[in-house]
Formats: sequence, C-alpha cells, structure tokens
Amino acid sequence: MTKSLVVNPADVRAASVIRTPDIPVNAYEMDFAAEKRRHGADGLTNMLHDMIVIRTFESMLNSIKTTGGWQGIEYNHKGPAHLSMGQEASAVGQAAELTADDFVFGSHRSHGEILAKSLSAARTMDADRLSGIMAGFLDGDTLRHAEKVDHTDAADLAENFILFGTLAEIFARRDGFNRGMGGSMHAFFTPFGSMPNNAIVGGSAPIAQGSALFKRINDKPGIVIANIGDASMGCGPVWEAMMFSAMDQFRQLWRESDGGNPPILFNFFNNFYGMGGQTDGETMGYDLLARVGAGVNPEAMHAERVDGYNPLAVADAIRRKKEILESGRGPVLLDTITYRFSGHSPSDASSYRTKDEVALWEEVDSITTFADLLVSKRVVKKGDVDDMFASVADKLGHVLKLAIDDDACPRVDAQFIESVMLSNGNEPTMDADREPELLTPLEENPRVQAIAKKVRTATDENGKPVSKVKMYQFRDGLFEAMAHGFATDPTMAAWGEENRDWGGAFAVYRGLTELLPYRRLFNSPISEAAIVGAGVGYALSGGRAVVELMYCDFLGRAGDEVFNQMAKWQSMSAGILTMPLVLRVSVGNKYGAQHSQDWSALAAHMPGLKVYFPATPTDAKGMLNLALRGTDPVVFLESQLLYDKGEEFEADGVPEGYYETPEGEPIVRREGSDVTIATLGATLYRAMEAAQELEEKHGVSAEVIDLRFVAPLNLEPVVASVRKTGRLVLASDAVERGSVLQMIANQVQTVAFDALDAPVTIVGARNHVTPAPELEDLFFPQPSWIIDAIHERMLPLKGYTPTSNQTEGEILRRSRLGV
Amino acid sequence: MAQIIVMPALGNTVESCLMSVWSVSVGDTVDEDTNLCEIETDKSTMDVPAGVSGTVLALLVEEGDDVPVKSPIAVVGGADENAEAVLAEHGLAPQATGEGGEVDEGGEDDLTPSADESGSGSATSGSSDSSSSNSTAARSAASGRDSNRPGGSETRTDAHGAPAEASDEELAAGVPEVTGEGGEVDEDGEDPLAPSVDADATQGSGSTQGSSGSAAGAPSGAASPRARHRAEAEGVRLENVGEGTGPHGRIIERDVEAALAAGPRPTAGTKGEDLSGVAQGTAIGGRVGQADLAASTAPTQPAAPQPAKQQPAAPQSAAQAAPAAGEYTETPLKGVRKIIAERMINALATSAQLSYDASADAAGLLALRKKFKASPPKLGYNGITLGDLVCFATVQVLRNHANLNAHLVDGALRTFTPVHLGLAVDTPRGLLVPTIRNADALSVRTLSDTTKELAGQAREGKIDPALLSGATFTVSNLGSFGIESFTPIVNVPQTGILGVNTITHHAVLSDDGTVGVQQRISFSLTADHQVVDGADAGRFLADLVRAIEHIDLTVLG
Repeated sequence: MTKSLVVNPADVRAASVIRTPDIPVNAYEMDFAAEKRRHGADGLTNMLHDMIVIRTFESMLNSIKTTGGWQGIEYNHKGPAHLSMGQEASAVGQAAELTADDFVFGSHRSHGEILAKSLSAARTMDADRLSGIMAGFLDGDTLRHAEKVDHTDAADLAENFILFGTLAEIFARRDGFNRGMGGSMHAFFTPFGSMPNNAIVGGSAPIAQGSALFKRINDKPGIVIANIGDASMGCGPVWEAMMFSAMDQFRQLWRESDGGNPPILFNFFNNFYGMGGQTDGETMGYDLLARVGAGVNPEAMHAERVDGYNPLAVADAIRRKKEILESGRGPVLLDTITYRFSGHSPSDASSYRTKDEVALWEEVDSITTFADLLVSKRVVKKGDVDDMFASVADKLGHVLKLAIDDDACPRVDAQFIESVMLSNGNEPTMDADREPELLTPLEENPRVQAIAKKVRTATDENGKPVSKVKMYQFRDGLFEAMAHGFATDPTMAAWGEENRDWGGAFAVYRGLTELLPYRRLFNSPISEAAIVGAGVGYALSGGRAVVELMYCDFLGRAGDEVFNQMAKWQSMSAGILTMPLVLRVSVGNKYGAQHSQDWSALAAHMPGLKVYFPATPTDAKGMLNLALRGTDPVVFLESQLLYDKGEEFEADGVPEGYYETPEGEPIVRREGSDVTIATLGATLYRAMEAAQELEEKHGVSAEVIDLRFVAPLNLEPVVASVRKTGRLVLASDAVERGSVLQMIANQVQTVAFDALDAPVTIVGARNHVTPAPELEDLFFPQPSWIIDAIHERMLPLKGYTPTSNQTEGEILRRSRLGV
Repeated sequence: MAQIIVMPALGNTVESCLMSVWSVSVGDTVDEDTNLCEIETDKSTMDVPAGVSGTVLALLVEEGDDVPVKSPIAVVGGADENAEAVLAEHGLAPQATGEGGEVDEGGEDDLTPSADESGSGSATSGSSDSSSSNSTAARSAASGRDSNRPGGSETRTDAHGAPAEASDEELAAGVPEVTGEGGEVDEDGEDPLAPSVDADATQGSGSTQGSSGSAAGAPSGAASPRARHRAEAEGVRLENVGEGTGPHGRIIERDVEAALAAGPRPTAGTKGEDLSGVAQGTAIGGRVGQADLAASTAPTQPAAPQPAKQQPAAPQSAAQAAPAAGEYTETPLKGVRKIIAERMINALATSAQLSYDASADAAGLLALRKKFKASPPKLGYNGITLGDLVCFATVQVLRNHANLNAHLVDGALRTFTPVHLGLAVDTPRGLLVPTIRNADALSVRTLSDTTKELAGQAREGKIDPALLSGATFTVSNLGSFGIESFTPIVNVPQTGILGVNTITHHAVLSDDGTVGVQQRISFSLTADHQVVDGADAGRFLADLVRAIEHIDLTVLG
C-alpha cells in the first residue's frame, strides 16, 4: 500500500521458478581447538556446570512432584512443573552466546532457559553491576534469601540468587522473581535478559517479535529469541509473527539507518512432541521443521536444523544467526532438535512413546557426552564433574529449604494481587532522554493546520448545524491525541492495517504519514494476532504502542494476544512490567454480521484490561490522551457511527490544547428527574432522541448518562442519578445477551435497590446476527425501543402504544429460544 | 337535592357490613339523627343515622345483604324528587325503589366516574346545606372524646371526607367540608390511586381503579422498593395507595406521590388508618396521644363508627403535602422508636379500641398516701405513691374482670388467672413497658418496691427483655404531667389499658345544697371492643372507682 512500489503486470506475469536456498541440517562440524579458543576452558566448564545445574534443578522438581520431597526435604508443590530433563544442552548452548541485552522469551517448559540465560548473562557482568541488580530487585527481597546460602563472591551469590529467585517463583513465593505471580510457566528475570515465558503454545512468538520491533525502532542493542516448541508451528500467531517480522518494508521502505528487519530469532526447541502428538510423522507435514523457513521469505529465514544435544553446535548457530539479525537481515528460524526424558508433565505416563526410544536418547545424554568430551580434552577432570554434581546438589538443597520456609518466605496477600493488576501510571513519555522524531514540526502538518480552521462545535452560534467539512469531528479528536502522543513520547509507534498511506480506514490517521517516519507508523500484514502481540512485546520491552483492529469483529483473531497477553503480563510480572499499549478497536455497522459487532463485553470480562468507549469528539481526544499517557493496556473502542460527529454537548466545543477526560467517570449529558438512561457508545445519540420524545410527548423527564468507560467505571454518579430518578435504562449497541450492561445493571441494582421504582432494564441489540444495513433498525436499539421498554417494564405511559416488543414475556421468550 | 347514603366504613379492616334491619321505609321523613338502619360487622352492631334531612326515596339494598362499605344503600331527598333520576345522575342503575337490591360490582364501578361531575356539582349546589353540615362537623370535633362513646349519636355515617383540594379558606378556618350531601361522591378521595403524571387525565381512570380497589379490587400488593421506602418515610401505608400504576399493578413511586398529594384518604377506614397526620406523637414516650389526634384530626378509633371525626383529616395532610424546604428535620425511625411506631400502628390496625373516662373521689387516696408518707421509714410504707395505690387497686379489680386481664390471639380470648401488670415507663429510649409478673400476689408495699425497681431498670436500659412482654393488662400514668384525659392505645394482644390522669379540683353539690370542692382522680380506660363491650368497660371502671374511693380497705387485699 504505497505509491513507491509498482505492481507491474510485465513482471508479475512473467514465467519463472522459485528457487529456495539450501537449508542446512546438522551441518555443525566440531573444531574443538576453535571452540576452546572461542569459549575458553572456563566457558566450556561453565556450560557443563550450567547443564548440571538445570539437570539437578529439574530432577529435584520431578522428585518433589512425584514423591513429595527431594533428598529428605519434604515439600508438596501444588503448581505445575513442565520439565526439560534431556534438553539442557540446547538452552545452555543458546545462552552461551548471549548477553543481558539479548532477550529470550520462552514457553511453559523454560526453567532451563531461565537458569541458563541468567547464569550466562550474570557472568558477563562485573561484581558491582551484579550486586546493584540483585540489591535493587524487589527491594532486596530475593537477595536476602540468596545471601543465606554459602557463596564466595558476587558471581557465586548471583547463582544463589538465580536459583532461589526461580525456585521461589515456581513455588509462588513472595520473594520469587515475580513475587509468585508468574509461577513455573511464567517466571522470568529481565535484568538478565530472561523475558516472560508463556504458557500458551507459541504465545511468545508474536510477543518476541514485538520486542524485537522495539529494539529495531528504538535502536536498542541485542537480539530477541522466541523459544517455542515444534508443535507451535501449527499455531496461527506463530506464522503471523514470522510474516510480520519478514515484511519487505523493513528493508525496502524504511530508511537504511533504521536497521532493517527486527532482530528476531524464532527458535523451535524441537523435542518431537507436542504433549504426546508426534510432530514429525503425525501432526505436522513438514518432514523437517526447518523447511518452513523456505515458505516465509527468499532467505528461507536463514533456517537450519541444529543438533540441540550438542551445546557447541547450538552456540555456533546462535553466534552466526546473531550476526545476521544484528545486520537487519532477519528473521531467522532455527530448528533446534532436542529430547526430553521426562514426560510433558508429572502426570504424563508417556503412553505415546516407548521406553526404548527414551533409552536411545539417554545413551546420548548431552551432559554425559559433553562431560566426557571435556574430560577427554582435559578441560576438566573426571572428579571435577562429580564434584560439580555434588556441589550443585548441596547448594540446591539449601535453596530449597529457604524457598519452602513458610515463615521466612511467605506468599503475597489478596491486596497485593489486586494492586498489581493495573499500574495506573502517568508517563507521558516512556523515554525522557530522547526527543521524539517527527518529519516536520507538528504545526506545519497539513492536518493540524486544517483542524485549526475547523468549527469545534456541531452547531454554530445560531444553532445551525455546521457543515461536516468545516466541523471538527470525532476523528479529529483522535488525531489530535495521536499527534500529541507522537510529539511527546519518542518510543510511541503505531501499526495496523492501512495505518499509513490510507490514513487509517476511517481517516483518523490522515496526516500522520506526513508527520512520521515509517518506523513510527507503518502498515502491518492482516495479522491481528501479530499486530496485537507485537504491541504486547513492544510495550513490555519499554515502549508505547498504539495498535489497531479495523473492526471489533476481528478481536477473535487476536483473542489470545488481547485476553491472555495484553491483559495478563502486568499481573503475572507482579508489576515489574508495564503495558503502555493502546488497542484502538473500531466498532462497525452497515457491513453485516461480521463487521458490526460491539464486543466490549469480551474486553470487559478480562481482568487487567482498561476499556474506554468515547461517544463525543471531546472525549475522543480526552480519553485517547488519557490512554496514551497511562501505563496500562487499554482497549479503546470507537464506533464508526461517530467518526464524523461534531461536538454537541460542550458549549465551548472541543477544547484546544492538551487535556484528559477523568478516568472511569461517566458524564451526565442531559439532566432529568424521572428516569435515567445510561448508554455506552454511539447509543447515546438515540437515547438523547428518546429523552426528547419522553419529555415532549409524555412529560417524562429523562436523565441521560454517557458511561464512557467500561473499566474502570465509577458507578457512583449512576447510582446517584438512580437515587434521584428511581429508574435506570441501560442501552448500547452490543447484543443484549452477556452485554456489559448486564453487569452494570446488576451492580446498580445491588447498590441502589431501595431507590428503585422499577427493575433496571436493558435495551441492547437483538441476540441475532446483524442484518443488512437496510434492516439494521431491526437489530440496533432505536429510540422507540427505549421508550417502549420504559413503558412496558418501568413506567407505563398514558395512552402510549409501543411499536416494539419489550415486554417481560418477550424477555423470557427470547431467552427460551436463544434468540 | 337528593343525597345518596352509603354504607359507612366501620373500621380499618372492615370491607363490608351486613344490612341487618331497615329502620325506615321508602317515603318516611327523616332528619339527620334518624336511624336509617342497623348494620353488623363481624365485631359489632350499630345504627346508621341518616345524616341528612328529607324523605327516604329509595332503599337500595335488602336486609341480609353483605354490602361493601361506601356502597350506596339509600336515597334521601325531597319528597318530590325522583330516586331513579338521582341514581342515574350518579351513574347508578336505578334500583327497584323500596325493594332495594344488591349493588353489583358493575353498578359500583359505574358510580364513581360519573361522580366526578356530579360530585362536584352536588358539593356546589349543596352549599345551602353547608351551614348545617359544618355545624355537624364542629359538633363532632368539639365533642371529641364524647364521640368515642358507644352510640354517640353525633357520629355521621355517610361522611367521606373533604376533597383533597379543599379550598384554602376552608383549611384556614379549620372547618372541613362535610359531604354528608353527596358524601359518597368522594372522587377526590379516590384520586390518589391515579398516576400523578397527569392529574387531570388520570381522574377518570383513577376513579375507576379506585372503586374497584376499595370495594373488591385485588391489588397485586407488589410495590417497588422505592415506593415502599417513600411510603415509609412519608407515613403512607401502602394498603391505602390502592392498586399501583406500574407494570402488573405494581405500586410505584408516583402512586405514593399521588396518595400524598391527595392527603390521607377520608375513607381510610376501608383499608386501614392513615396516620400521616400524626406521624410524630407528642404524648409520653412519643406515643400518639389524643392531643396529637385532635391536632391532626386523623382517625384513631376505628372501632366506633366515627366518620365525622375522620373527616377533617384534609387540612392537616394538605398542609403536610407540600412542606417548604428547610422547614423540617427528617429523622428516620430506628430501634425502640421504630418498634414503638410499628406496635402502635399494629395495635390500632388490629383492634377495635374505644376509650372510656371515669373519675373517683381522691380524698381517700390522698389521705392514705399522706399517712404512708408520714409513717416510720422502718415499716417500708413511706415510699408508696399514689400511682402504686392505683396500680394495686387496678390489680385487685382486674381479678373480677377476666376479659380485661386477657389476650386476644387469633380469634381466641385467653383470660388469665394471675395478673401480669404492664407499666408504661417513659425512658430516654422511648416508651418501655416492663411487666410486674403475678402482681395479684404482691402486697401494696412489694408492688411499690417492684414498680420502682423495674421502672429504674427500664430507664437505665438494663431491663431484662423477658420482662418487656407478657403483661396481661397495662397501666399508663400521665398524672404527673397534668393530663386530665387521654386515649391510651391498647398494647395488643392485651384487651385493655388504663390511663391514669391527674387529680383535679371539682365543684360538687353537697347533699345540703351547698357547693363544695372535691379532689377527683380520673381514669381513661381503653378497651378492645372486640371482646370488651361498653358495659363491661363501665363495670370495670365502676369497680375501680369504688376501690379507689375505699382505698384504705382495698389495700387490705
């Protein structure tokens, strides 16, 4: 979608064949002398040591889960433990070539990666930096315990710290790496580049891709690895993330100085099983996983199959791929084969594989093999290996005792859990040290100049409607907030479908193309999961992202990213991460059943999300300003019925300059005394019509409240209104069943029961598909429906004949039939 | 102008009365006091005075008919007037004159709507009668307590209260309009049933609903929480609101507002008393005393047919209907206050209370008190008060009046052998009534000691809750406040309560014809007429007077 690229039929219609590059399979050939020069004897010994640490750590957990104790220490661990015994070499080999600047995102089976990455990264740091990180982390809560285990120096203490922090987290202890809020499947430690591990298969792919995007857009050092399993190759979001990261525009349209494609390595730890499903031969068809790279871009993602049972082979691959990524030629795909001796989880009876198969891999156990190698090459003595096992076991024994001490190492309380759900920050910029990059000063932007000439109210001083072209519209409010954000926060970037040259599908971004370089505003593939997932990774890496779903109906395409990722990471990190991510979601109409749905209820149902739904130009700007300076994930709903609305409620029009709408506060749009009509979204305007008719024809004075927010939502103004009027109608364009309004009705009814003169009533869209635009008045709430509902359920109006069926019987009928 | 006489409303729970015997026939000339007929409720039998003068033009019901209250029973007018025309004018199907006939629902329903016009018409055209009407009302009001007496002939049976929009002059004058003429034309009394949204528009339908509601209507009884709350705060009883105008006949706020705007319904007796006019009693312990009732002129004694007394409710309630902002402080009833309020309303709603006054020569009482007071402290008599002596005498007398030392529960009378005497005590928390159990077994000295003990505990809030119930008869002594008479409210399920008043000086004519002064103590007995007839009450009071006048002997036990 850019004029600079020509789709020439002469080219695209010409005959040719596709040739893919060769994809190496286990091409590594060991040159031990070279490896020893590269890693040093200490480096090689450390690799062995770290593999032993992981093996011992996982064996301990396995023993605890299956026997209720380890080495005479009894403990019952209720939570999960997905173990990776057998896979140690792949994690350690990978970490050996990484620094703390390199980020590793993982899966539910990532204990080994956390330990390997942290131990490796810690060795790259001097004692002062290490001590500073440990002392400053969680106010020293983790370090306090680590210091109780014998140690010789800062590096040794760091090992205690890493072991305790990880184990205490697995045991859901307050002083674990994430205060016990992440647990086994989500533990991580960002100072060492160990990033969030994800319990959704493939979940890390789009997030890691977003993190890589953050590094690319903000010129941050390091690469990002998504450690995902072979089975995740079947997940749409993984493919979406690969497609997103491979976009031509990074090298063709972005400036060369922007650095090329995001430095993302999709590393598939290929242990040949997805739980019990055998990917090679049963549930996939790729023969060799690395083949998939050929389907993504001409470089075949620089894909290789690597022997994950040889840490040196893995380290070799990582080193080479890191160079590619740092030069902007990614993405990279690695098919790192490995094998787990343990089951998928302690409950796994391994019914899907034979003992003989496991035995075959045990014969080539990477630890034994690598230890033998180092002994044979005289890097270590045989006795050293035994000593390593013994000392690691001894240290872990101490760590275990500390981590299970209920008195000294308690769990968090309910208040804490609540406190980390949202960060409620006020951070206009996520990087105060940099200047935001704009192509032209804001005041020279043609859209900014055009808006300056517009009338900021819907009617002129004589009360006549202002022509649409002269009127400041809802979309202008959104634009002003976006422009302000881009001019304030250097990290702020926006992407989605048709965001750039088109100006956004609804012309909200028109003018931003001229204002911003590609890297701050670009078109994404039509990959909703990757669009949102990238935003999650971008935000938790330290930037502010604004991503867009063109229609609310596409929310399902990004379901995991919105519901499990965007919503959860602040809590699961115990507030260590913030999520300054705004998801603009346009709510449609006129385009039938798959383009006309208000799914605010889905967002509202997910703890951890803020949900805004402005209905006026003033709020479009004030609420987007609010969202863009916060540090929480916001689902920002915009009705397409409103984009061209002018300001009808604020006499002075949409304020110029910067302002914020107070968070969570509904606003009274019309005062009244007999009935309160509270609306969410565009239904406000139909409620105003209903209120007018109630007043003029029936002498009923209606108060109209624009809720504006779904979460958080201060219900007190609504309750106060209901105490006054005694009656509440709630209306929105969402289908009535399961609507947000049902929840609000319940809450208001609970709080204001004694003040009610009639049951709270809800007028929503019908519980069926959205029909053709010509029939939409059969689907969306109409002013008459509101009046009819008042008449039937609350306050019979004299001489009134309803035109729609809002009776109690109809409520029951629809429920009975599910319509 | 012919008038339609309706079946009077005889108490808050009475919905219909049995027409026992007609005392007049068509063509008879009657005056206001002429008994038209005798009627029966399940509790009593009474005469219905005509309330107007004229010729009986028609009898609309037959003996033995069960007639809903407020339904037309007769037409009285000029000898030359046509009953059928009168009835037609009121929208009633003409009845066979002289034969009477059952008033069916339809006829009744038809009555009220047309009464909208004819009612106001008759009120206007009937102004020539207003002087006599007013004088009747004045007499009623003035007679006050007297009218409580059974058979009080002044009571009017056909009055249905002043319209809600009684003119300011009438309100100011405190002279409520008596609608003896066309008294049944109480459309305004019905209006509270109508939605207030459009007062004009709802009159018609409202009266329709009203008539069905008052006669045989079956309101759903459901009321919105807000309506309940509002009704409670305003002292409106939901039963009086009638059928609501919300969905399914739910009473919603506007129905309560409409009821408020219209004031207490003059026909409250049909559904229950509306005490909005006396929401805050001023009597001891916040009890609703007679003074309050007189002030508000709200109905209090539904046991006796006293519509005339109920009638002037409008002025007070009209004044209350629109209090100016800032004029009042609102304090929700809580705790003991709320319980008292509920008990009092319940007592009035579920019993047929009637008060009787009598007085006794207090000379003996005063002499004995003097003697006790002067007695050596060691004997333990000098703390015995006049009240103790009265209580002692009361207990002794109660032994011979089983139906006053009793409980009326679920239609059964329980008479007690022992006397458990309830004592109304004014405490900081409000009225409490501790019980002196087995008071009949106590000597006057012990009774006195126990009284002091329990009253003290009640005032200090330390009383054993078990002692706050179980009394079989109650004594309430307001003598120390100078109260000369009141109508204490029976503490149901008890059947009687004795009010003890102050001692006053009375002029007496001696046997020798000279005028002297006598100190007399008076008693106000309220008894539940369901089980205690007037004569029973009279006998009790006579015995009590005798016991008081011979207290020196009474104390001997």
